[in-house]
Amino acid sequence: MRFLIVFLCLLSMPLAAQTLRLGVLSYQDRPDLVYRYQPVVQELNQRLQNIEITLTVADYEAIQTGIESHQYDLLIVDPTLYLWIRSRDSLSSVMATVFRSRNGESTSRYGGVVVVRADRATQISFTALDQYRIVTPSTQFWGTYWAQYYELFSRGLPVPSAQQVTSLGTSQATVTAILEGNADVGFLRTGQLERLIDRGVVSSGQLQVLNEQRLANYPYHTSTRLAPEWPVIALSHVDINAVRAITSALLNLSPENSTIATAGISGFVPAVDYLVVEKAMRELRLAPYDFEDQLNIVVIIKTYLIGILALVLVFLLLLIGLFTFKRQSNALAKAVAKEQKLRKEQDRHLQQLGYLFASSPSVVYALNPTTLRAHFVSANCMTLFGISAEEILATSDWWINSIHEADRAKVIAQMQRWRESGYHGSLQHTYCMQTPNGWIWVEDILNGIRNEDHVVMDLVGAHTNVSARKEANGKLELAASVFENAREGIAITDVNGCILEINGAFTRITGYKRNEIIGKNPRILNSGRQPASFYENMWQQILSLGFWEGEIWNRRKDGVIYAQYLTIAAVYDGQRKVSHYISLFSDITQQKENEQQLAHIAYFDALTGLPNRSNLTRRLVSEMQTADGTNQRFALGFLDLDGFKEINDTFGHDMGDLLLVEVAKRMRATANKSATVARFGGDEFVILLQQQDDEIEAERAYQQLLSAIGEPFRINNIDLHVSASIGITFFPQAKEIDADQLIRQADQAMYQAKIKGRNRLCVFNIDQESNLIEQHRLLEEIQLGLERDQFSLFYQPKVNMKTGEVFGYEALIRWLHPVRGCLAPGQFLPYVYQQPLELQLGEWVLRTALEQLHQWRLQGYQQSISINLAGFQLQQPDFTQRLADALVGYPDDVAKGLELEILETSAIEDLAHVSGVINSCKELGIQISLDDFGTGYSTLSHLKELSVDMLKIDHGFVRNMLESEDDLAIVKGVIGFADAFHLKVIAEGVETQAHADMLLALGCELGQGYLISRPIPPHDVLNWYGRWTNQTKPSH
Amino acid sequence: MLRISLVVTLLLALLIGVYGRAMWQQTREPVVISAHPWPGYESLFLAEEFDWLPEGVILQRSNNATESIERLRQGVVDVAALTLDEALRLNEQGTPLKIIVVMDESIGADVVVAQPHVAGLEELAGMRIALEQSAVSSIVLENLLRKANLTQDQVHLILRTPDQQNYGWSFGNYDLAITYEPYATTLMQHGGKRLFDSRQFPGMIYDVLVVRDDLSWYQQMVVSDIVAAHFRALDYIRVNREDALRRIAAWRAVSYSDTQAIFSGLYLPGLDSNRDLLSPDGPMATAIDWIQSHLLQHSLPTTERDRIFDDQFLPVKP
Repeated sequence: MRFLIVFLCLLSMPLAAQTLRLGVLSYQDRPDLVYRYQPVVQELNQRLQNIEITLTVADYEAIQTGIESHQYDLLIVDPTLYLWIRSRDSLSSVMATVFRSRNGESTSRYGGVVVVRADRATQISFTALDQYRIVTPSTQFWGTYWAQYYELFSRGLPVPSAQQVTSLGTSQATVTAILEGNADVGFLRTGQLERLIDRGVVSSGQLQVLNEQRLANYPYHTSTRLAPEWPVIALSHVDINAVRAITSALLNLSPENSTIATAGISGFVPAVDYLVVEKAMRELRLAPYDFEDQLNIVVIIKTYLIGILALVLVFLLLLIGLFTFKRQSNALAKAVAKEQKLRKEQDRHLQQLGYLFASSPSVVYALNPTTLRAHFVSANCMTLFGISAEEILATSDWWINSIHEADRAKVIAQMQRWRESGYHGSLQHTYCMQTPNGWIWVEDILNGIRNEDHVVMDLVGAHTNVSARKEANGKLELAASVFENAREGIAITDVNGCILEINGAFTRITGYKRNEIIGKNPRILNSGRQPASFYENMWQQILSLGFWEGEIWNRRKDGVIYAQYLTIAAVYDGQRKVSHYISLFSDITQQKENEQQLAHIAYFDALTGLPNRSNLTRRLVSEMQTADGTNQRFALGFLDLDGFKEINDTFGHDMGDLLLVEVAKRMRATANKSATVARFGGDEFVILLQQQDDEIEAERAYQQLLSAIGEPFRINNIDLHVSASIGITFFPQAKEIDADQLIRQADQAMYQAKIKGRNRLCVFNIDQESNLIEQHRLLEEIQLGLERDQFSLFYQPKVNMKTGEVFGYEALIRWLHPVRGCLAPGQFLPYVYQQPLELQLGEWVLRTALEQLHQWRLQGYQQSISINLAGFQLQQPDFTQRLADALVGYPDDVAKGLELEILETSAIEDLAHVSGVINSCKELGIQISLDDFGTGYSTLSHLKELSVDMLKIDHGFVRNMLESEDDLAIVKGVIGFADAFHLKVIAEGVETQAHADMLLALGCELGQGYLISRPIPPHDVLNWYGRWTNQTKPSH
Repeated sequence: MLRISLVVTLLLALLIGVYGRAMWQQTREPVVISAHPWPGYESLFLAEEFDWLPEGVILQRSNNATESIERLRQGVVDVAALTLDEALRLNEQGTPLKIIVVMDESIGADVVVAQPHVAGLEELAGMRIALEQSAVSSIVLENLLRKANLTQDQVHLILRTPDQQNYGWSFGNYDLAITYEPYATTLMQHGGKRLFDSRQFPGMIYDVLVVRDDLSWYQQMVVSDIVAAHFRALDYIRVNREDALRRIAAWRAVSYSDTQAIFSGLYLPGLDSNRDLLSPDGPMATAIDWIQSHLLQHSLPTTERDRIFDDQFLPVKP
């Protein structure tokens, strides 16, 4: 607490008067630079009380010497020098960092620039700067040397050597040296190049920057990454309160202050971190980081003491282990050698015995009764079994292991019983034995050899090869096994058809057991599905060809009827007479069902269960044949959902699929029972309505489908709104036509319905076909024109014919067609009538006119622009919303300059909607005029309802009014109308002075037409305006 | 004795020959990264600009996350930058992968903007909320409703991507919009106010770097180097922020000041923070459990879930 009070007192205490010495770093010892920083110092002194700052400008070495001798209190230096100072006076602190601005962008970072003469830019590469003569204001500074050096270094490029580089003291000298060819490459700090260009020392085209970095909004060229600008440093001995006061004054220096600008800087920002420079200097080993890291053995031992101790311990343990192991292995080796000697002796005895048995047809062997290990085998095993006696004796458990796995358990069991009987008599068995030549059947006879005490010491056996005998038996067994295990049912009958034998599969398939069927005739399986003639043909073929095969329906024992594939073959005896019949059959019921299922998949859509394309085509063909015969008509509708893709894109395909299922259900429920609803794939459906003699009735049926689909679908708790377009065609037609053509007609009509604005029916019209193609081509061209910016707005001036004042322009669209030249609206607008493209064009006109207005406003030009609205555009429910969207981002005066021209005819077509639109436009500040007035038979009440600002008299009436009394009367009438409703009125089609005079006489002052000007391309409007105002000025 | 040592030497030479060849071949396989433009992933592009990515690494620019996912699924790329939920979904769909770095966490970049008439969270019942069909939007919605003590049936949801939301906003077609920068700013310029944002439920929305689980030992070493390069780039953004942001702004063709604003809604976790996030009981595990229970069809058992984190690729602290 006491400390806090002291601290607060210190803060509030006025500073004792003191003088602080500020050193500013410069390339050379140039006292003249004092003049540049002096205004900054003066400004600071004025703001500081009791502190007087004096200024010294000094070069790198002078500042270093000054620091050593404590001559400075404050410093403004390069970051490299700051880090050097910090390593000496570690408590020195950065008070602020310099910042600079140019073109409204400011930055407290800088870097290095590498420049070459522009004409040599292609020869000199940044990646090989070590081959050129380099000049710089100074090699000591970050911005003029080390930034460039570090950029090369960190990118692994060759760095310049000391001999290549010359310091010239100033940036101007550096640039001059390059321009005069005395050097190839110049290193500058960021900002110097721009300053030299501003001062006219060098023009911007003369020098080229190498390795230019792409940095957004950075006000200078730079060739390197950025580092913090120069710091303002207070050395540690400066009083903390003075530091606070000076820091505050520095940060308060305003960038607008012209005194700062003389120093080439814009002011100061709070101190930034110099870690970037420090890291770079450490990498480059620049002073003060130029020491080598030395390995110190003491440090290593200290650091890794535990590790080293552990290593020594492990090493000792290893040594002990090795010694013990050696002693043990010696003892073991001696024992093994002794035993081997004994074994060899024994083997020799047995071998001798073996020769005695060599001539036997059987292999004689002896087993140990307990282990069953062979300790003798007669040598003839080599000739009989192909295996040497040594090998057998070396194999433990040879006797057991050579028995085939299938026999082994049985043999062991017999052996066990024999052993329990005290090896009574001899043990004889036949089994399969493994030899190197493969499996052979052997007969094995074993006898026990007893000693004096009648104890069995050895079992002596003899193996005899009985394979040949076994093989003959095996074949018979195989045949029986095939018969029994076959998957097919097999029955053998005698010549009268009486069943003699059946197999297991027969019972499984038919349900009859063996005892129930033997002796019976296969007739009891007859299902009755095949006529008697079928069996007659079958037997005829068996008798003549000896066999029959085919599918047949039979009845199981439980009465179930099943399908089987049956083969019957006759078996002949030695006299070529039939002795038996064999019938072989498999159950193919499952296969039949699968076939039916496949047929369903082939003809029905998997998702919706509706008939698919091929099914529909099949039905269509048959329907067309019926219609041809009976002369009854039917209707074919092609339906495509509108906006289905958007639903897929927004909610995912799963959702889309669910929707399709629901749509299918709803169509099925809505359509007549006799109608065929098929899915063609994607969101396309085809609906075939039979017996539709009345086209109106058919259309009504399709209309019902449209209404049904128009109701919202609720799927996964989301309401989806879709509509559909249907194209309809009828059959028969005057021309002969096939099913595919019929579908294509309906498809085309559907496409018509789409381009007419979706959610509607369209009946196919033969004449459409060719027109459609032509129109489609043109629409594509217009679309392309929009994308390629081939459209332009021309502006026809609207003037007050009395005063000559220009008060606005009517924007008129032109198509600058690459081949057909400049096209007037009449040449392409009719083709887009009531199509989505018409809306796109309208939107384009609106946005282009707004942008033009905005440009004019920026140039101080206040005229308005009127644009023509198509009726279709006006009728869009979201018209007001689109208009508001287009206006977003523009100032209010742009909206106020916009005027919409609505055709009188389209206005009275949907009076309520249009009057709503007009009212919302008024709220946005937009003016409305009624175009071609006089052609639409508006009544007074209409005019009252539409609160427009201006009426435009159609040019047809104006042009002819001098000749035609009727037209003149209409013009007069309109002017009278306008007068009565206090509306402005303007005449279109003012072509001659006579027209103008007449209109003025009638009281209509505003006009537009060729007399005043043709529509003008956008870039000429201001020129025309200049000429027009000059020309009309003298008249009033 | 001499013969045995000769045989052993020959065998060793053979082994070294065979394995060495296989190893050398492995070192020729490049490692391919896929990332799309997003502030959280700029460190990768920065590392590329300064040549910090290891040799043999190819950084592919994709236009959006979907492209990166598809490339990863096909095995054309080995490493990709994705949102956490995308990574989990991909893993669930049978592309085994590991999350090796957390690139960024949204702390305010995902925003709920309200029309001026909405006074506060307590009156959200019955309101119309525009949102995108995405995991991140679901997370924001869930947290918004939890905070407001409501269930999903008590509000009306209108599906609109953020770039479409502006359209109906001025006409008052919805009361709230779940959006993100820069669209959020646009709505606020049209009178909207910030009602709720991801800063209020930290630890939910992450972008991560994932690696396929079938890389060779050599590729794994390269991936470690890529991760190191990412942290080096993060460090560069920290110590030389102005330089880094001006570079990023230049290649994204936006202004420097806009770039500063974009980075303010993101938290770019450093090495230590990554170690915490990637630990099996860290905050990411909570986020994963939430995403699994709300957005995925199956949940991984805890052991499987923990297996998806892998902090082996993070550089060892010096």
